[in-house]
Amino acid sequence: MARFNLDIAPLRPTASAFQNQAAAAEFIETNFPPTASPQPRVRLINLEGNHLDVGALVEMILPITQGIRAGAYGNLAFGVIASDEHVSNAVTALAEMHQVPLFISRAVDHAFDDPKPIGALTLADEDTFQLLCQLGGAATSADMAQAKGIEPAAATNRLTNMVKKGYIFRVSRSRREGDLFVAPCLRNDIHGEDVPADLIVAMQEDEVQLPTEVRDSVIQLAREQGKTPEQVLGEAWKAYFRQNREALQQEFKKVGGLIRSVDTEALVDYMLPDLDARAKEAEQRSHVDEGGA
Amino acid sequence: MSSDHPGESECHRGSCICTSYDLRITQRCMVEDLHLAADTRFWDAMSHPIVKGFVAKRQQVPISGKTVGSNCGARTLYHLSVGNDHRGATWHDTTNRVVWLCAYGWHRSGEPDDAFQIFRILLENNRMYPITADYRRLIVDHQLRFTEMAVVQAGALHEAAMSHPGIIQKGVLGYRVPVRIVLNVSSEIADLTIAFSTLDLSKVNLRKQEIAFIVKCFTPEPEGPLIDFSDTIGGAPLLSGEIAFQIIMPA
Repeated sequence: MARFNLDIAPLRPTASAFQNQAAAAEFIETNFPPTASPQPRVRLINLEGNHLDVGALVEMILPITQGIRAGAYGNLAFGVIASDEHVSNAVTALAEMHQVPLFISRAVDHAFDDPKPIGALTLADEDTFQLLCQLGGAATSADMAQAKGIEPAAATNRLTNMVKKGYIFRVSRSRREGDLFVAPCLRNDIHGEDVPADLIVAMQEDEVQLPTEVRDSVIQLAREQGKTPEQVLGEAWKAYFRQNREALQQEFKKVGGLIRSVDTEALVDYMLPDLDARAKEAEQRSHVDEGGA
Repeated sequence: MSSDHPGESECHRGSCICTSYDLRITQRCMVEDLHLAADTRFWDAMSHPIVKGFVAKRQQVPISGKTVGSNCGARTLYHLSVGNDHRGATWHDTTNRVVWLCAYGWHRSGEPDDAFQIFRILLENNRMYPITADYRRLIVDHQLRFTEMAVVQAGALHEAAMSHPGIIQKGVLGYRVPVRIVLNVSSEIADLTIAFSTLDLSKVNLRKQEIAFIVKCFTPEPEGPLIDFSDTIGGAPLLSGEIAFQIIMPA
């Protein structure tokens, strides 16, 4: 069975990064290039066992968390491992002062089991996060509504708010299944080998941008064949081209002529036969995200 | 990478290209507020102070400053201020990876033509955000960027393959499609194998036309060589999700 596709990694800065602001900035620049990747990622910096310079600490934490809040890092959850109470308090104060999304963990061994969210959380947010963890770390808004005894719309609002603040991930699924909200923790019953097939496929589904009706078929086929959607798509293209050799040769001829003519705009017209539909879709997608729906 | 101006590779047609998003100007803002033609290239619009400020303040951080109007989640507009006189409204369209300059006006505190009065009216009339025509231009510009770069990069990869027969060469066409190619030469024929995933780096499914384009980038000759499918590349199996085409030519 495939594993849940959550990208999780601990990071250990060099000793100089703990004591030198410039080295801390360089560590962050190297390890956290801005990216809009939709791949959910969790990164924890291990602060244990070093004397920390306050400037270096701020340099390591603030730019990333502010970038997450601004959407510059895609689906990234960021935190620190700090067993020392004073360090832990300082990090918490920093996150609260700047109202930025951060996680804190007390021990390396269990760093990814239950990282605690700190920073820009209201009491309702804390309650929502706790309940999501109690539900196994992943739930739909319907699950949340049932567990909390609130209206589904209210549950959706609570979860969407947490997504916007950068504390949980949202996994797009079909309307029928409902989107999945996932906490960035690593519980064996959620993210390990015993992951339900539905969940694995849902995560993969999120990575494949296709028209909904095609995407559903691909996901279904992948599930039945025990393959990834990428494999199914590759095989589908092979089968299609084998059955349409003549048509494919014609396409090659046509596109070869356009490349030779150096008429880039004609080439673009050729490659975008459904331009208007795609433009409308892009506009609608931006509206759909308006309400987090 | 193709560029509008030598030494200014970050601008391409209607975009200023940043690390993980583009900066663009909506057509309405371009025409009504900046008084420029709808299809003005970004570089040409940079003579305007607000566009210069747009680049300076948004190329690293997509949102900052006060909001324009009320905070409305992912659709929140942010205030862009340049000097005493110039005011703009920007929106980070995370779905399409663009920061849009949606509106511009002069700051004339208390007067009816003050920028914020104009922004309020645009919001009330639902004319603030990009429309289908803006997304149409965005898609075309992205495709032009991909096409122009892919042809050049395919040529360079092909040359590398010819210099090192039998060795797989790797590259990424137009920052979108990772490809692997290898050239094998015998006494009579040469065959070039091109392998790539049908999902690009953004996990977007390639179209039939794009697949044909990628293959022909490597051999655009008119009298087409024989092109067939392959299940291997350089004698090794394909990677998961890859498809491969073999182009057979006289040596």
